[in-house]
Amino acid sequence: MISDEMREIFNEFVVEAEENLQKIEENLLELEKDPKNEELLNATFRAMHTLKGGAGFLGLQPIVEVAHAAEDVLGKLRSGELSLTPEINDAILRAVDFIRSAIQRYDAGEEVEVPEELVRELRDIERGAVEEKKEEESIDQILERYGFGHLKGKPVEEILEELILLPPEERPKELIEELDRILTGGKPPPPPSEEKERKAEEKMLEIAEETKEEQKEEKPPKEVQPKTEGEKVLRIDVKKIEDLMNLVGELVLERNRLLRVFQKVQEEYTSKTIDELETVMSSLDRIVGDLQLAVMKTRMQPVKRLFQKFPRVVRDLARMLGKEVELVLEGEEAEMDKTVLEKLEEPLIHLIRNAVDHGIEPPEERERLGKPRKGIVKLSAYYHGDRIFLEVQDDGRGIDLDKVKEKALERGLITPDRAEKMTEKDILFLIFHPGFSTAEEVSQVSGRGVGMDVVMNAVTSFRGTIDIETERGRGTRIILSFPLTVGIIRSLLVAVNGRYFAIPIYSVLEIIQGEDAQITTVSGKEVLILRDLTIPLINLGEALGIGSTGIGYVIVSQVGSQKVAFTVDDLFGDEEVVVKPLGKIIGEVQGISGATITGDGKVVLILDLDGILKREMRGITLV
Amino acid sequence: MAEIVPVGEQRPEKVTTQVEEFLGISLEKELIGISLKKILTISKVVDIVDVPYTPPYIVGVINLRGEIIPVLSLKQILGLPENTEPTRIVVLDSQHGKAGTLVDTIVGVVRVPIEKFDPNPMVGRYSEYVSHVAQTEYGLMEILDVDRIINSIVQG
Repeated sequence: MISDEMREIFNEFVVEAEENLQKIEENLLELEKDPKNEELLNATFRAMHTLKGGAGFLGLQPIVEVAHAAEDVLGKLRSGELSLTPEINDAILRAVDFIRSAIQRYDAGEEVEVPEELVRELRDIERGAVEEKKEEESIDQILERYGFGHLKGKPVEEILEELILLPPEERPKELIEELDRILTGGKPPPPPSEEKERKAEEKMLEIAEETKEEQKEEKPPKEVQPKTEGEKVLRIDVKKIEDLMNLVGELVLERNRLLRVFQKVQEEYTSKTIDELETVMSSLDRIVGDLQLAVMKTRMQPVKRLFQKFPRVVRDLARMLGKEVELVLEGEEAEMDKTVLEKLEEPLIHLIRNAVDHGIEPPEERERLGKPRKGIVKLSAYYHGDRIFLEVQDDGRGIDLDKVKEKALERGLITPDRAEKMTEKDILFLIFHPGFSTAEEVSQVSGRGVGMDVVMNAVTSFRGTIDIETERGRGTRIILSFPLTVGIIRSLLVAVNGRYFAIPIYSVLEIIQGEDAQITTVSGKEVLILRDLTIPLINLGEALGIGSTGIGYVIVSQVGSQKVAFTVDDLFGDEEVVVKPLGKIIGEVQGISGATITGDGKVVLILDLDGILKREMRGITLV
Repeated sequence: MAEIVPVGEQRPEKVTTQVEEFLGISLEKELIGISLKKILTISKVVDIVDVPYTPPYIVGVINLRGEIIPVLSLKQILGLPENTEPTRIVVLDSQHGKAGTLVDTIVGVVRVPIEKFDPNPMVGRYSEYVSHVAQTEYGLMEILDVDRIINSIVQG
């Protein structure tokens, strides 16, 4: 039975398996025409191998056994020890059929037995690799002698079975004994001498004996006819979904426009028809909303797909480092956009490695500190608002702020003067600075020249944010957050020098009226004094190269690890916008993450504050 | 109607002639032909939104039926002066997506028999983007290699 937790993986396995089975079938048929085609043999072998692996992961033993046996046969075909005959082909195809029907039975919640006979047949073929020629001759002779010529050419085991299954009075005892001898290492043809193989053979004979009773009644094992229609998982080209997303985006915008027009109509006229129209409008509104959500969902996948890779990482790592670590997973069913999900594997592995390597203390040390020997690394996912949060938390030693500061000074990332004034958060965020982590320090585990800045980049590239909390001796918590959907973002509409731009709202911390903002200059550059913070102030118009802006409003934003303020002329509130790429011809533009089309058909660029800041900072080291 | 062929001139080959169709456009008084197969639509110059941080030959983006389309300046790309105000955007289809190009005026559809194609006599300037020239009823037309232009932009 497939447990509920495994269902996801199973469904995926089904899709993949079907593809592989298809490939194997096609290849086998092709190979019948061109038995020496190495490329095809290799591809077939690999496909079978993948299948076996997938089934093994899910613990589908019968499939594993059959796939394994078939793989071994294919292996010998590949190495040239066997050459492909239609009989061999048949056997492998039967294996394919079995796997297919087994998958269906698993899918239907049924149990599947190992098809001993098929496995044995495949094993025989495989073993026949060396002996088949020599043996056949003598066995054939023996068969002739006993008048069983019609059994010629079959594997010995099969012949034996046939004979054993005969009614007792017809059963040729001597022949059976003779064949038995051949099999178990008797005289005529040199039998396989390896202990292992002999054992396997003996076992098979036993099975042959055992099954003879049942076989009489059951006759051919009933096969479930593979049904082609019942596919529950459908693979769709991402492009198609993107097109769909685009269309829905359009629809959403048009709906917004329609609602606006309708409002006007409602203000101007009153009639029964308009009331009627209102009901239609509101249900249309709801349906479009639902449709949008449904299409978005096609791109969503549970974070489990990502999380399930980590227990192994933690286990291996802990063993390597001689630590005791338990990985706790939470909120695996939370879903997020597939594209983001895929890109998060590496950053998360990095964070987890850090937690195990730098966070969790060795068991002895933990005991000394009065902590349980086993450290805990918790990976959790949860929703909050329109964002999904991912957290990596450990109960280890925490981050030593003094050490971080020391190192940052050493590497010249900050001046001693600056170090004095930094808040704890500021210091913590230094670990994300590109110059902070270097390969020379850390161990082989977290080292690898990949620093936290890589994590930061990956996160910000998906409009994500990162936060970090730590307590000496108690542990560290790193919190990542991402927009639930990549296609639609809430944005603040601003005017800069008569032009409109959208600023994703997640990066906005605070908005200050121009006249209330305390602005001063530090070494010729404008800064905003906000409570006890000094925040660099960027004139958005100048940064965009479209002429200086006045200071109507100051937008304080969290850009990566630091706070930056931008001046704009005016604000027009926030709106959900559909992000459209600028296209291949323009390509990626640092500072502009895309464009959107407003309800009245105007194009508004969506700013990427992180990119703008990077442009501004180019050549200048961090404060 | 019977054709009267003056003595000494050859009778035009009627049947075998292959004709290609171009949209003739005018850029700073030069007649430029773009294969009709590449042309999706022609629109008036409306609301081009400039995109900061992009090179000068990218004029900006427009909303073409809900799609964001870049608008390119052929004059910038070809190194022509910019004295005449463009009045139309010709939207082309390329392997890298749609692209609008600013043109001064539309001359019309120009049909050119293949044998009238001549290799581009010029070198330098924008000659790499002009695959052929041809004598037409509107004068000498330069035939633009659209794919080449777009490819060179995408490849930076």
